[in-house]
Amino acid sequence: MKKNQTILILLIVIVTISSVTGLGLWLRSSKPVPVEATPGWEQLAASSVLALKAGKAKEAEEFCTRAMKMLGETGTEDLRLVKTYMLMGEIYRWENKFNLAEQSFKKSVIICEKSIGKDHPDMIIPIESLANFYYYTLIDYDKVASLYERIFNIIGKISGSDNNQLAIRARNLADVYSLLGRYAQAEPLYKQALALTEKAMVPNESDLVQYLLSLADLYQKWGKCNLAELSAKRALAIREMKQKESSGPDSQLDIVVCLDALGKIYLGCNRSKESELSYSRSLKIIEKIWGINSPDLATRLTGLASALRNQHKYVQAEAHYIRSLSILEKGLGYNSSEIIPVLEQYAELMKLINKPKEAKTLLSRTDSIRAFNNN
Amino acid sequence: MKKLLVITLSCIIFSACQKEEVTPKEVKAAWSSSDKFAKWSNGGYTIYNNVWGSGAGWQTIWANNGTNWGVTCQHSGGGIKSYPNNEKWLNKTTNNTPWCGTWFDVTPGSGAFSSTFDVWGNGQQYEIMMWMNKQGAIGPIGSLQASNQSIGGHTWNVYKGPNGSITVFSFVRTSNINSANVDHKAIWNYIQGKGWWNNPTINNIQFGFEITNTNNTTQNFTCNGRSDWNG
Repeated sequence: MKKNQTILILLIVIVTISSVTGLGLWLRSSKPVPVEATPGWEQLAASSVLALKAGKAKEAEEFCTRAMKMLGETGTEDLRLVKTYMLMGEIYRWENKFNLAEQSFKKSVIICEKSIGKDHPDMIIPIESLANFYYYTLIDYDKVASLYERIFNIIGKISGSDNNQLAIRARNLADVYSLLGRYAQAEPLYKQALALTEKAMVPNESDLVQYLLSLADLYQKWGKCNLAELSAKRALAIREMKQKESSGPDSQLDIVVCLDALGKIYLGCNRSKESELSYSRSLKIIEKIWGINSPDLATRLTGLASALRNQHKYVQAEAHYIRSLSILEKGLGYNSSEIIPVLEQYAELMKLINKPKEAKTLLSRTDSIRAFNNN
Repeated sequence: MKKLLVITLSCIIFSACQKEEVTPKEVKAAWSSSDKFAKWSNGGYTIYNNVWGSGAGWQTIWANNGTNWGVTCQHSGGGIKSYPNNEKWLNKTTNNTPWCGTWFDVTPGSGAFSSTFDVWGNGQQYEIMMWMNKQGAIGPIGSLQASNQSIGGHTWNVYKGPNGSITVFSFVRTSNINSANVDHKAIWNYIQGKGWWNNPTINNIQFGFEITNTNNTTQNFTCNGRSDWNG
């Protein structure tokens, strides 16, 4: 019994070590990944992350440099070096040293290419880090798009690749195309994500809905109102069907997501009455789950107010804008950026009812909030 | 007369020096400190000031107890300056924790910041970040795995990616909030359901403010209360 327990513990230790030292092996490939043998790197890398988390960036940099030096002795074939450069990129990013961060992320890609080849599935990890840097830090979507294209192509080349991963990557690439206004390129990718999900033996409803809503959002931006409505309505129908089985808060929130999408589509397509109905329904659910003062109400109240404004129901519209503003000011603060879209919409109403002075005051407040938050 | 002149000159020099110096605000509380890495334990929680980053201004942390705490600070420019937080240890596997949640209520100041949970699993193997209120351009690590996922009463966009040897799961709430119940167990079940981990030990749950800037004005970030429960 004792011997069996020892073997079991040893097995657990081996499995744990393997999983810790692996480089994101959620995708398998025919080419074996080099074995990682040098002890101590894990500890240095983890200490570096922890130091960064504890606010000690210099210490984090030192741990990371030590980890790099340690690996320098084993040569650049070691995949841990890839991770170390990625980590250094993160540290530089936190320190606002963007040039150094970019160099580190790029270096991790180059080392990985040399080590395992350009099309190896594990290439995705450093490419993704570089893309993430361009996405959130430099906000350069063109560069993100080309890196996401590369990731999508790598996954597409893997024989018998995971459809779920392919769908996720297709959607992510489509999202960036959509941000760049390249709608015609985004559409087939969203459709592909949807088709891949539908193809599954038991399609994941949550995935179906998210891809349908992404497609709906694209069509709305593209001005294809009917297609947008069709996609969002299909998503809502899936959620409503599911709600018959479970009516907990999560399934109600799932419905809210679809109603909000429909409300937005109708608002953008000059179908204000339908928008009003969608937002009213969504509002009631949120009030029930989160209460009548939740900041979560604000976007729905603003949408509803705009739908009413477009129907010339100005008094009702104004009341909703004021409530939305009040909730946000109390819940998130007077200078919260969430207030800006409410003020802008409210200002539109003021212009419509010939109160240019009030509109100007509202818009000047948006300027001061922007200035405050961008400083 | 000469003595008076010396005193007057000393006062002028002293006040000129004072103008250039950034002075932390005095805070009346059970504990307070302006030390960059000050920490204080009370009632099963540890509170950290955690100030870093080039160009960080001043920051004073205070606490009445382990769950009612805050910082008064002044920061400017880009880049995260600090992550003042309070931490609760759990050290239980997810399977042996049938329920686990946190209620929090905060009043953040103005500026660029996020109110964030940081949950650590299997030592430093896994990290779950839950972004409850995000102001500014900083984003999660990794790639978007799923959008608009309703989990534990909140709707999130879910990201996953590596940071060094750590796998980071980021749950970014689709809208901002300052007071809520958070169902950690529901989040852990979601991660387990995706096959991203297998019954890890959850070590500690941190909650605090990641502050980038306060527009160079003095701001208060307050955690009015926090309570944790698990089974």
